[in-house]
Amino acid sequence: MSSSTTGSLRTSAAVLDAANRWSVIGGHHSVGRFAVASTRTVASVDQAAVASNDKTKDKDARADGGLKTIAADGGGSDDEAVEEVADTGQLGVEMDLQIGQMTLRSKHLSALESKVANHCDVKLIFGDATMQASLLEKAEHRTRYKLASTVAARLTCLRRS
Amino acid sequence: MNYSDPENPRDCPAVARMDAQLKWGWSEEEKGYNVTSFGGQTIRCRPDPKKTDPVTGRTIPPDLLPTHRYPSTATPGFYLGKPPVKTEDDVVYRPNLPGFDLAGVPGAILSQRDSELLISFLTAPYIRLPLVLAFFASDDRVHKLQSPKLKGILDSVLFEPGRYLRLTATGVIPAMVPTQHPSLLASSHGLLANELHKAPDNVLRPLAALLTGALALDTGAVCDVGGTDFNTGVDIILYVTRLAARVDNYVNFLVDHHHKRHRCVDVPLRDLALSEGTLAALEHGLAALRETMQGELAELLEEYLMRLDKETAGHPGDEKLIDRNSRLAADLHAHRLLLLRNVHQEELTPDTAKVLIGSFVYLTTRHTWNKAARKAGRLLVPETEIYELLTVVRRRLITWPLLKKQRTLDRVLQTALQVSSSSISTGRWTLRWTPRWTQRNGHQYLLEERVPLHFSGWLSPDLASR
Repeated sequence: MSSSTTGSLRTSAAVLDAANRWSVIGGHHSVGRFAVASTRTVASVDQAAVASNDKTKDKDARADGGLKTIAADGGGSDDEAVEEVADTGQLGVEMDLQIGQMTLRSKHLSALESKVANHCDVKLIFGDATMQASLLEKAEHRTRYKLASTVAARLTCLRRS
Repeated sequence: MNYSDPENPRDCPAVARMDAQLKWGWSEEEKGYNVTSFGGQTIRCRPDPKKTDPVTGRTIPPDLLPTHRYPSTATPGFYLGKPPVKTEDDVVYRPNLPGFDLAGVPGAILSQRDSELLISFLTAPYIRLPLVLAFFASDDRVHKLQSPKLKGILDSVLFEPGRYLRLTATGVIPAMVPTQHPSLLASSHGLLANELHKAPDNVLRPLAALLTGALALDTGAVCDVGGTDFNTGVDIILYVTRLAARVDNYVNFLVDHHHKRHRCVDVPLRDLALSEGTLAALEHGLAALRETMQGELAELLEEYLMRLDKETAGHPGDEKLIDRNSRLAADLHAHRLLLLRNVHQEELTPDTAKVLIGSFVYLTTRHTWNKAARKAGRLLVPETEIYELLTVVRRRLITWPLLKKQRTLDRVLQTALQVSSSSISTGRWTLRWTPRWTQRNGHQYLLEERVPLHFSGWLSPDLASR
């Protein structure tokens, strides 16, 4: 799968779609929330590799550093019901369809909030470029964002120099 | 909100918040709603027609009365100035008519003949809707819609409700032409709903022609070289997309209401019962409209996203290009959503669900809301319309039975994740990256440290590797 050094995999959509196993987040307050809660087990890949004595697949499995990897052709069937996971607050990727929001490891990634992005100081420094930010902390009188874009990276470089 | 006249800012003094609350009531005498506020004062949705001169105490003549604060751009005299234009004769005897010139475009957008035709149509508000729509849909005039003023006129004609037909006047037909009672030339649910109810073909046929004409304007490029926004052709295509999607909302409402499928409105509506013939015409027109919108048009929008993605991928270090293309992609995603607003739950497929979820998540992660100007990143689709759309479709999506099947869920959400995490991606053709998840500490599922390049464009390195 990791055939490209840039990470740009031009494989078929069907293969990519079966990559992660999504689950429903349980609880009355979690209607419409889904999370990646498990991956395909490596066992299925290894068994397939052994069974077919396919050295390429075996090599791929080892190249993943022993971590559990994804079986590209694995996946649920149309009859298989979706599993439910508890809302532990430690879920990897979460999709909330109620508000169309994606959360990565409890950090909501979004374009910078309007009142911040429209602030004259922010405009003076960054211009009108669209910036993505991750909300780190929110208190009554303080909100901490981490800018997540190449603009922020460039600014960091400028400060260092 | 500022309620004061801009030329007289003290016209409406500061009031306590609760005093500004509107109180709605029903007047049995007048058979209409009675709205009071500001301590029991009568509230009007238009300037007082009986306003008196504060110095002389005399009633101000109608021509000198103040107009609406934001008068309709479909008012015949809006672009003509004084004297007021009331009839066709007032247009004919004007020495010059506006050409709706556009900066950077040589010559007039509309010829004097076309301008006279259009403004003459505007003088007859009750029947102008099909006339104006047919005007733009015929004689290759779709490209005239590059003018924002003409777009405004068409929007006003189509979507402004017009004069309200009072309950007591329902079913009363004018006996003379011209009528002595202009209040009868009105509708109970807006002119567009009225037109669709009385003569749907007069709206749906020109609209289909307009859509076909707009699609023919595709030049193969999304932007001009060095441009910061869509080129003229794409701008018109997107405008007609919005127009068609909004008419689709009306037609869909009428059909759903007739079949008692509408979730909110299930009571009979005054003067809006559909005959068998009208229903058949509406359903046929809607099917034809949807076929174009969800077929050729949706594919074209995907292709535009693909082109932007390809351009961005070719210049990974060009931040201005990435910023511009991300903004344009947000617009394209918003238009893709408009095309699918009225898809019923039973019509949902994994492909449509992918577009709905992926485009929504793309907008929430990539678009900065509440920008004041187009140049700063404001969407072509009003943001309130997108929120309304989310409200309409989210229940259909969440309760969609196929989303409880593992394979469909994986396909839909994985694609949505990829669309939202790439810079431009469309979901169908640019699925280029499979995020790799690793299990650590028993219950934690982490993103593998090897992050693809186009993903790291919006994730800071330390965040991505954490």
